[in-house]
Amino acid sequence: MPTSRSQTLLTCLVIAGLAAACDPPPRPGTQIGALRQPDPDPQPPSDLQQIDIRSAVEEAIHLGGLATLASTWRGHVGSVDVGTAACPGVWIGQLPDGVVDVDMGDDPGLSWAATCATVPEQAGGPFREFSGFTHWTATVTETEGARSLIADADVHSDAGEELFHFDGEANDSLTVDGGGWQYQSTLDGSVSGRLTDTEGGVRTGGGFEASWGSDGALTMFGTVTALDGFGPADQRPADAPEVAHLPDWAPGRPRFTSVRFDLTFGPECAQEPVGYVGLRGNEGFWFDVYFLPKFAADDPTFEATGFPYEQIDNVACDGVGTLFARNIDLRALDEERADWSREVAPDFASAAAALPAPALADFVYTLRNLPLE
Amino acid sequence: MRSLVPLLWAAACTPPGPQQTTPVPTDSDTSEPKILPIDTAPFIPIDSSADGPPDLVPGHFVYMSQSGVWNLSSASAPNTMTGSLQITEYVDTLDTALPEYECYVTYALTGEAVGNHTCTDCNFVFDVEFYVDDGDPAACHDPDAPPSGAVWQMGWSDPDGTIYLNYYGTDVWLPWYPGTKSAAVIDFAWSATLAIEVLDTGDMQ
Repeated sequence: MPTSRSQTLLTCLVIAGLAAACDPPPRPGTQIGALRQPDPDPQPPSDLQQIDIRSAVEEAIHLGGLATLASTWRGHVGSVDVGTAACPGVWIGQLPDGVVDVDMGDDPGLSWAATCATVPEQAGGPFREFSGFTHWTATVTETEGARSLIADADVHSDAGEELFHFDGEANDSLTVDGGGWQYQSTLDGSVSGRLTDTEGGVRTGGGFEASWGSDGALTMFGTVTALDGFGPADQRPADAPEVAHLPDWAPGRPRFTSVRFDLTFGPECAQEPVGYVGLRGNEGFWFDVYFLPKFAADDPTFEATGFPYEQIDNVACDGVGTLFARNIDLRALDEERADWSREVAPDFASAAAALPAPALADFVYTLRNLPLE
Repeated sequence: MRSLVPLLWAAACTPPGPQQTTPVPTDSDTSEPKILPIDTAPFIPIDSSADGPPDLVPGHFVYMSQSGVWNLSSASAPNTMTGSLQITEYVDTLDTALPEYECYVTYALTGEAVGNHTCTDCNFVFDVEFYVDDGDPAACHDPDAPPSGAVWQMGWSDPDGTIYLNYYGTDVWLPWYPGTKSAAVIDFAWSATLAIEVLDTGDMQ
């Protein structure tokens, strides 16, 4: 009997297996869960031809100029200024071991670590709330300034307004030579608050590096997200296919959220940078404008093949970049429409000239500047 | 069993009749494809930790004190100055019978008047040279304790009662020492108290 049961079970299994093996494949276009078979070709967003990409690129460079320690430092100093000797108490050198899990390096610097509120009678105004910690260094000479800031800090007004928030670390430097200067900053974190110069707040994905100078030099590398978005108001209707399924999307929101830079002005061409600017739309689509190629078109390396330079006709030093949306070659669309072009020519000179011009005075921050009494 | 296998195979692969057909879902939507947004933005981790450490109550404080005197060559428009500066720092308490300072430095000061300067609030400005008579400025916690031989541009403001410092030649004039001027003598002093973490050296007291 046991043998007979085993044979019956085996028979059933064989039948079931053979039946499954003989199922016909799903028809093309079949929706299987979240997937479509075959996956349809990606489409550019419906408002592609209405977006002023040129202005968006210029605004992106402005945004990159805000994602620096210079913008963050202003909020840091401003928030310490509204504190008192007791709140937040300032420590000379590092904070006690175990308070914060960061390597603060060898420079003793200054710190505050607190969860406190100022007393209005001492502060000469309404109370401010401090929570978290900061550690900073600042050195300056006649020709150079350097700063660093590590923090996970929040400072609020009595009305609950965010005055300063920084969670991350950053450093910057300024070199002055004669009438010229060169500024460099690396920022890794999220910064916002009214006392900062970040216009609604920014967040970087990893260390965002930016440098520019009085000679027009400009380099930006990394990702910056504007916490309030940036760019023109979104004009698409709510039933546009790429936004119809997004529950949080609404007309009128800023069209873009983030920027990815790999942009360097080299000595070979003052009009056009090497690299690209990628703009992230609020629906998640990326708009990439490629300028002078960073790699040779026939470079077989993995890093080089990530760029579609072989599809870009214009590689001359003329300030004109080529737009891709969702990595789609827009050549056919360009050829169809006489009133639209995939070529984009941002005004880099004006965008770079509008970036903040730091001064050595901004790097001067001593014990004498602190509210110690 | 062996004789059953071909029969089973044939039965399993026989095309199903019409009544056995399981409807295969088809995409009848002829409108624009419903494109799933693909966000290729780099992953940004969210810091879900608490806002920060609890309010720290410092266990130790460093007391800093700096005081000195400028003896001017004249009361109104001095050309030169001689003087002194003393910097002391100690942690927590100071045994006055046997004072143990973290930092105790005395300087001799000399000043030469500077005609061309950028201090708009100053009545007069000197290039002040700091000469260490005793002690080691490097032992001080104040990062701006002048090293021996340093020359700082400093000026006096009568209305503010303050000695200003051109901080490292940046033309940023910081109020450095509050002071009082009496004829050709300026006395000045500054003090501050800051929290400090004292490293445990393991020494048994």
